[in-house]
Parts: sequence; C-alpha cells; structure tokens
Amino acid sequence: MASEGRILMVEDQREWQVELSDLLQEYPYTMKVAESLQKASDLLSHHVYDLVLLDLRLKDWQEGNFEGWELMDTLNMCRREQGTQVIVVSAYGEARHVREGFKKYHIADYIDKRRLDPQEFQKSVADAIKQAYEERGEILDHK
Amino acid sequence: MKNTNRCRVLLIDPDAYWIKFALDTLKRRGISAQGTTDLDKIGRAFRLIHGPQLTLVNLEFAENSPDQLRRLAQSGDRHVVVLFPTSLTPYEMSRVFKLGVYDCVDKPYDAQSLVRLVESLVKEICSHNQNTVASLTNSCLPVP
Repeated sequence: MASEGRILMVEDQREWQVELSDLLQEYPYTMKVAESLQKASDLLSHHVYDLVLLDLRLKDWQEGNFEGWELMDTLNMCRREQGTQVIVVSAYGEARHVREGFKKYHIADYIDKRRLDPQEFQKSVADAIKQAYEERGEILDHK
Repeated sequence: MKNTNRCRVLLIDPDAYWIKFALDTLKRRGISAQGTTDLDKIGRAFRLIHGPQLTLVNLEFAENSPDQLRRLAQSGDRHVVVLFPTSLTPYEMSRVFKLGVYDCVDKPYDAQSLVRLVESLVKEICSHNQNTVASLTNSCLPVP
C-alpha cells in the first residue's frame, strides 16, 4: 500500500515510541523515529514530513527540560515551506506551552500523554496529515 | 470614519456585573466597546459588520457552545479571545484553541489588567492586519 503520510516521531522513550507506533500501524503511514534533537534536525533537513509528533522533554531524567521546544523554529519553517504539521505529545507540558504552541507556532494539536485517547490521537494525526496535503495544494487520496 | 476602519471590541460574558465593569473601564480609557450576556445576540448583531473585531468570550460559552464559538472564530476578520476565570490544564487549553480561537488568557478582574489586555490584543490584531494598521491604532487606542 502506498504511503499516505510521512511522520517523524521525536521521542526519546522506547515505550512511547512503541505505543504511538502501534496506534498508527493500521494506517498507511511511514514513520521515522528520532530520539534526540540532533537526529530530528538532521532528518528534517534532508526529508519532507507531513507530520512531526514532538515530545517536549527529550531527556526524561531532567526535570524542567523542554528541549523539544527548541525544534519549534525549525518546524515553523518546515510548515511554511512544506506544510509540515506538528502535534505536541507530552506528559510534562504546561498551559503556557499549549498557548505558545497554538498561537506562535500554529501547532495542529497538543496531546497529553497522561490522558491519551487512542481514537482521538488517530483522528488528530489523520486531520494533521490532511492539512499538510492541503497546505501544499495536494489532494490526499483516501482509500 | 467608516466602520471598516475600526476594530470593534465585543465582550460576551454571563456575568452582567463584569460586563458593566469592563464597559465602564474601557469607556473611561477611550476605547469603544459593546457587551452582552447572550452569545446568540452578539452573533446576529455582528454578522453584518465588516472589519477587524476583537471578541472577548467567557470560557463558559466555549464549553457550552463550542460549535457556535467555532463559527464565530472562523467568520470574517474576527479575533476571538477566550477569558478563563480559573486555571486551565494543558488538555483543556488545547481543546479551546482547537475551536479556532485567537488566544486564551486569564480573565481580568481589575481595571488596569483589563485595559492592558485589550490594548495589547488590539495592537497584535493591528500587526496582523497590515492594511488597516494605521486606522486601527488611530481609531482604537488613545495615545498613552
């Protein structure tokens, strides 16, 4: 089946990589995983993604670490040039992150890992990928 | 000056006392505003008005009438800002933003905070509306 969505997951924790991938395995998406900011930046500079699933705390042992946020300027550029959408998926985000994310960076969604609803997550991903296609002026062929 | 050259400030809140306080405060500051406790009325009244509008809506309406708020936020040159009287979790704030609102901020209960909020939002809207920037600043905001 042809891929209908290129996703980059920026997530340091193995269990969340598996959990989120499992939730999307029935869909015709291709997924790459970056465990670090550096790897995510490298992939973004060489490939086009429809959607980035972004964890905010990439060094989970560091309290107050919101390293993922440093990627937002790059992602904003990807959005302008390629229509790349961003869904923040975090267990540690604060209301101020949500506000800044929507207002300044136009994120597609913010998902709290502590209350992850599989169907809501799947719908949010599908909507974001559709939006990426629309922003590029392409049509997503739903099978 | 034509209506299209003005940034209308609208207040929608179920608390009539807060509406009165806000309108009196903004009027003293020279900012023209209108208010109502009824989301339906404001929707009808301003459907035909063109030009930038700043609409401050209480969170209660966002929770009780999400579809109506979405329509309000996505129609015309209207910037809807939701005022929340209590603290929001990231999840709750995300839900509000997904309705298409422009911003989500603490509800101001004192005159200084209210004026500061409205002035900063109008300035932001001005910068979003390059074509009307001069007229907005001239018509809405008194020089400090």
